[in-house]
Amino acid sequence: MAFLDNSGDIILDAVLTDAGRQRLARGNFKIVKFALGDEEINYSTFNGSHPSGSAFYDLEVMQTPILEAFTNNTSLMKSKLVTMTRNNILYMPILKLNDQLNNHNRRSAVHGTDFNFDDYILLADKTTERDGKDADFKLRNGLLRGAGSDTSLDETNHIAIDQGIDSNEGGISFKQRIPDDLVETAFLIRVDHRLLTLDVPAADLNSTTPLTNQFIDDDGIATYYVVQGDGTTAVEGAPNSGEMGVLTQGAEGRSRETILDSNSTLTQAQRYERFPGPLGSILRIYPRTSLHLRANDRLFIELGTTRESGTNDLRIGDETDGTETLQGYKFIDTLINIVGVTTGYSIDVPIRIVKRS
Amino acid sequence: MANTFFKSFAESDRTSSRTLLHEAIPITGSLLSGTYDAGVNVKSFSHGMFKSVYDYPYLSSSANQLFDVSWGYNTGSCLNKTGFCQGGTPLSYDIPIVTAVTHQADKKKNMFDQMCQILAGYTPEGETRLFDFDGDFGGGSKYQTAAFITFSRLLVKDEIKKGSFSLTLGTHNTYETAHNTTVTLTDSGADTNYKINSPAGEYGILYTSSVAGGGGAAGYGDARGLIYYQAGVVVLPATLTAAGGAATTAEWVPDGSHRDDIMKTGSMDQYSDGFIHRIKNISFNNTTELNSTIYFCRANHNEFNYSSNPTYLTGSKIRVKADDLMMPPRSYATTIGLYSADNELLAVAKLSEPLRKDPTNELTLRVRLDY
Repeated sequence: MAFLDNSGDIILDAVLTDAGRQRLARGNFKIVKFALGDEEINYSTFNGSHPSGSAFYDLEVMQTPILEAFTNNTSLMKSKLVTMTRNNILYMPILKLNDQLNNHNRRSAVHGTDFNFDDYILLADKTTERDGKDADFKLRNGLLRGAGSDTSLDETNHIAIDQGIDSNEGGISFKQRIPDDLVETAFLIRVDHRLLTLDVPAADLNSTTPLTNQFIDDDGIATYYVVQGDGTTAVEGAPNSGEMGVLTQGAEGRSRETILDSNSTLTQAQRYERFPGPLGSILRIYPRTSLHLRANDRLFIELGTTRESGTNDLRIGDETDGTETLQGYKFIDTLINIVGVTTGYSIDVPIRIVKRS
Repeated sequence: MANTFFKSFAESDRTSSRTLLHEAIPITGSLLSGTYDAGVNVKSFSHGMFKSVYDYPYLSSSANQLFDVSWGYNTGSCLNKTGFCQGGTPLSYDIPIVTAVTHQADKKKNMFDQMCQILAGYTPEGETRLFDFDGDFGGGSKYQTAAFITFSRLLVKDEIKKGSFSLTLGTHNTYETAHNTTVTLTDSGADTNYKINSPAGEYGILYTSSVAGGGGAAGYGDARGLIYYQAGVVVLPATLTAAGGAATTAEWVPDGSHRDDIMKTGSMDQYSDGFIHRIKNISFNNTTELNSTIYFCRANHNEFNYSSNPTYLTGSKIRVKADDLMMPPRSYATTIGLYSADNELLAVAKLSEPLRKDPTNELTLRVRLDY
């Protein structure tokens, strides 16, 4: 796409996205709301100490050239303008993948599971999980069972996204409460529906339940919407009582209780947290491989890479007592996109889907 | 108000409008004969019922279809100078065609009947109407032979603009110098005076605006053709090109065969070739009807002042506040996204330059979507 002519009046270049055209064809095209985006803007060019004064602070920002609109619905509106009624906000919470090291079997963890890949690995089917054998064995950290098998053997079984303020300037501490109007209570999650579906923790905390997507767009991207109090425990709200919460082991995930202001308690709490500042909510998801992906290899051939036996064999067994190694496998790298509905902040979680050849 | 990046449209934020867009379509005769080797931009078909004219050698993927040419005759028709029978009764100098046509007779009749069915429709008794010279089905002159120019959708778009059509045909007797004398037909006045009694939509009457090199012969009226605006079809008496010269002896094809002989004993393709050769110029304006929905995206003073852009924060601190808690927030909009109820991005609009948004200003952005 070319840049728009910005030499004269401000113009609008409006197009239907491919998803919009698809909905027109299906007869369910209805626009009900709008959002403003600013993905071209690099706010680091904002110079709040310009010697010529405040009129010059955004000189660079205002000269940003703007590209014509893309028609791919997933390529635009990556960052949005946000409405907050207060004007006195200096710190905003962000989202981070919580991959802290732990000895806690409900925590995600990553341990350099492949030579060139340090993110989560999702094993596509039961045969891969068992490396072609008859019995389950404990997987090493950072590996997830895509077929939704019994996970009591493993330490890693889900992906956790934490919200919090990533600063400890001026006495900001994770013992403090995050302002209520900044807490995420709902998330939008986008995954490639050809590859993945999502489970979330059930209300009883002892099992998982499949999540139903809102829609699947023309490119096969499924959008899920999870909200606190939707009958699952996918979204755990921010600590809301007393001083802010230390993390203890709950039935499923972390439960945040009162931090005793002692060094040991603080240290223990900090082991589990990703933020030095106040904590917001937690999102927990269990990615599962699609039936299509489990049943055949077509997408691995089309989108993925094949590793022959003897080159970059992938150890999947536990570090201490497992020696199981995949010798010869296929994999696809994909992303799970997560957007906080309150702040609009989004992160992409890389994930590698591996299937035994 | 909840913190959010979506804002729902109120009923008053949405309106609709209709716009007509016109394009000028010039088709010169040199494109039809002269620019390319004979026939390379005119496509024939094995059925031989019409020929298609392209703007480029038709075997090329760059070629666009312009129009088709064909002709047909009515059962009981005759061949006179204008190709119609006064009141349905052959004039004294008419040449009966029914028995004279010896080649592709059924196809020529079928073509005529088909176009009558589509463009003129049926009588209450279920019989096909004939094309009428003045558009009055009650009586008067009817077409007994007709040449058809069917323009492609690419050129016509939604319809031909009324009052914009002009067609110049060469009428000279000699094939090589066919354009030495011409007749020009226009739908003059059709923008305010057109017919609506066709099942194929609105149509106008083509009039002779000039007959160069002779013409004005007895029996010629001003009305010499019909133009169907939505259908993109022009109907002319098949013998019209005799207007400026001898009726039956006009050389129609390179070997000098006469038009009327071609009509009777020649193929439909031969007639079409001769007709295409005599087209000197066609021009009209097409019309595209744009139906628009206009969305007014209103950002009030206390809305959209923050951003989720990753560069908006350093750590978690807002850059544009310059370390000052009391400094008002600001953001810069470059894009407007229009969403469905389930948050799917259906349309997007880009601003040509960033718009600053802070608590001291309000924006109303008008986004028009054309369908």
